[in-house]
Amino acid sequence: MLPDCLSAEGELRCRRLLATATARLRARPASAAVLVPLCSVRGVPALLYTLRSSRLTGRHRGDVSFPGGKCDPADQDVVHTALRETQEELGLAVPQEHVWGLLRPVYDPQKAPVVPVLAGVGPLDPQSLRPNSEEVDEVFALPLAHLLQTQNQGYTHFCQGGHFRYTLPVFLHGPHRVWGLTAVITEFALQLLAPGTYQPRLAGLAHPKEPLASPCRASSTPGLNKGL
Amino acid sequence: MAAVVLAATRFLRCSGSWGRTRLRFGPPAHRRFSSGGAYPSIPLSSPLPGVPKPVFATVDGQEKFETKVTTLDNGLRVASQNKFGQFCTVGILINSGSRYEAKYLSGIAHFLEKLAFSSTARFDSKDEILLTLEKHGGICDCQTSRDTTMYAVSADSKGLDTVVGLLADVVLQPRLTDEEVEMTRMAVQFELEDLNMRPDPEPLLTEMIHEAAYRENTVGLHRFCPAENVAKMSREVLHSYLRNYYTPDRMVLAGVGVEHEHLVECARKYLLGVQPAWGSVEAVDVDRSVAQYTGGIVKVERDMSSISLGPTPIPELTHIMVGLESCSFLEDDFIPFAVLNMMMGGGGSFSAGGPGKGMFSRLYLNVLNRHHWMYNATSYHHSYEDTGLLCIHASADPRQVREMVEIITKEFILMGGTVDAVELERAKTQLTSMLMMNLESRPVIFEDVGRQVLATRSRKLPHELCSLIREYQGRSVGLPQASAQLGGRLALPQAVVGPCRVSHTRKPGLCRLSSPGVNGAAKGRLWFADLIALLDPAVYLRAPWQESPLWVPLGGAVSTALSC
Repeated sequence: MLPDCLSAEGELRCRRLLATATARLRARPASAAVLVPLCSVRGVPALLYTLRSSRLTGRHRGDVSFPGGKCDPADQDVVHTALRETQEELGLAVPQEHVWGLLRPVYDPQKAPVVPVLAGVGPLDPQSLRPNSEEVDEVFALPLAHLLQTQNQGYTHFCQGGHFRYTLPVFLHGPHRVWGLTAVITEFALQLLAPGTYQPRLAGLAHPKEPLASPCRASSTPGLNKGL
Repeated sequence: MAAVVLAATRFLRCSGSWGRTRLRFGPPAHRRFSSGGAYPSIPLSSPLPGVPKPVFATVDGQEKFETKVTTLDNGLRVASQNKFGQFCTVGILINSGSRYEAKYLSGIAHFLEKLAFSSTARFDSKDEILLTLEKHGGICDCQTSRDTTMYAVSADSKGLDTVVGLLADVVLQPRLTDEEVEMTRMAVQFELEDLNMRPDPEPLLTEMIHEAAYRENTVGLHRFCPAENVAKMSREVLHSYLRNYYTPDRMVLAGVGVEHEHLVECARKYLLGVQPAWGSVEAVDVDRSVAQYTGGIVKVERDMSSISLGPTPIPELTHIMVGLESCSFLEDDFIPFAVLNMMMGGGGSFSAGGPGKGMFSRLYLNVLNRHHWMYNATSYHHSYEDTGLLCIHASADPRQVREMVEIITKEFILMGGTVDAVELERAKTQLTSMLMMNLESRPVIFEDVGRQVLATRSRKLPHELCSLIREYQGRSVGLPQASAQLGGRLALPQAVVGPCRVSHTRKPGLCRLSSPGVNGAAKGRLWFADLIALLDPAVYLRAPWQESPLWVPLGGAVSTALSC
């Protein structure tokens, strides 16, 4: 069953698990960061997603993603980038203390690292947010209970050059399909928040299979860029 | 012609006894009844004695029989639809195809299709199978698509037992001998060569659009065996695949024109508790990947100047196919997309036309009738259990690729606009009529029954589908969900075949179209504008040489100011 991850003990447990990785990754420069907002919608723990505007340029327009963006030279660290972008895109101000830690970085097809920042934003009503219409078309929340149901989880095997290469998770039956890097980051978050319940699907990206208890430990950085 | 007339007049003018006998040709047809032999003067109003009473079909517009589905203990589903007639079509449909080949050698499904109905445990060769079927006036065939494999037999209903036994043998116990695999290798190679040499690039384009739309996953995997894998196929490779995918829970035994109980009995006899040739082991690794639409572009440059099969040269054309994601056939939006596909219609510009040919569909009215230089504009809709693809195929001379792409993009944009009520009704009527006309044919009914039961365990009867089509109203702003969904993913997947080169500069303003003119190489190679820039509306937008702005948001509300 879903552990009470929004409680104080749940938060402490997650913070402790992420502590070492956070300390290490925070200092390191990265090209982009996203915020993984763990909120509580009508008392139900959920993750907040955005639908990127179709008016944007670039390959990810129209996709479901977390709020975030490229690092500015003016940003102090990746956490600052994530919080700043969230403020710009959603009008949601998340104080630094609410950040629980950094999850494993993922690599986009250009091999640039994107660092997910997990933060607990507390009770939130997605309808009350006023997103920046130039960047964000829609904001919606997917309850953790929904994401943890097996009929809403899927995976896709990808090939490259005629051979099987890697598997990516996908989350279905929400208002929009969550796939690609966003699904991978969601998977990291679920592994952290509901370790016994969630079965990870990500495979073949040449990273060492980590025990579920601390998915954000160590050696993940060099591994993920193969095959993506 | 003159000689015949001359000969006829000569016969007629002939008089005398031998002239009379000359005019009687053919064997002396001797009907007992009519020449007053055993049955003197039977009037035409009463039936002939000793002749079996004829059974006539009655048609009253209702489905006489319904589709019955039974599931056996091992998970195999048996579905049947009874139908008037002496013949029946029975077959086995399996959830297996190129989309499940991610972890296997690409091309296994293609090989299995060619190897079907070859020697099995009970039948020593393909000839023996055909001879057995001939006793019941039967024919057999195997067809593979991206997600389904169908083994089907059409034969006399009295031979149902033999037919089911034969099917079971063919599917579960093929011998796959080395000579057969060798012969299949040659057949596959011939087919690949033929695909590349055909003037009609349709199968190649379909392959390419899937590859572009679903990059490297499920439905985008190769439907035809790639040339490098032909030599690597062997019985072990095939068995490793069959072990996981030819399992009873993935199969449906469907029959049309048969009694349900009889079919179930035959199924129990031949398909329950049978050990398949590859050993029955629990299926270990079944691919349940969800098809992921990625969008993309696939281009092939090819010299098409010498594809004509005869002395008349076929014009050298560039073919493009542009598509967007639609929905699966399980969703409610499937009917709107089918109506949309009908509404777009289209075909070849050399069509003779006529009633029912779709001459008033949009691609004819807006594209082919207005631009005489377009050879072809046809819309297609592919639909699978978790995704779909709506695409338009167009072809024109290589020097006009840019305009062609602009026109097709404009058509996609207009799909999201208003739809005239008359146009919508016409499309719905055409769809209903095509559906009912196709379902008059027994093999099509068989495929329909099999596919529906394979996907959903039940079957929507034709009149239900017709009422669903009739009820679809399409809101006043056109076909809403259909076009809004179409706009979801903005990278238009595209497949291009033909003599063309793309300049890989993505800088705006370099959307330059330059043709080399006449110089030596008369093959008509062409540099044309950066296709990505052309289709990527935002980049196109910034081209500085444009006089009026071009704003093309493809999702949701549409407002276009296109200057073509």
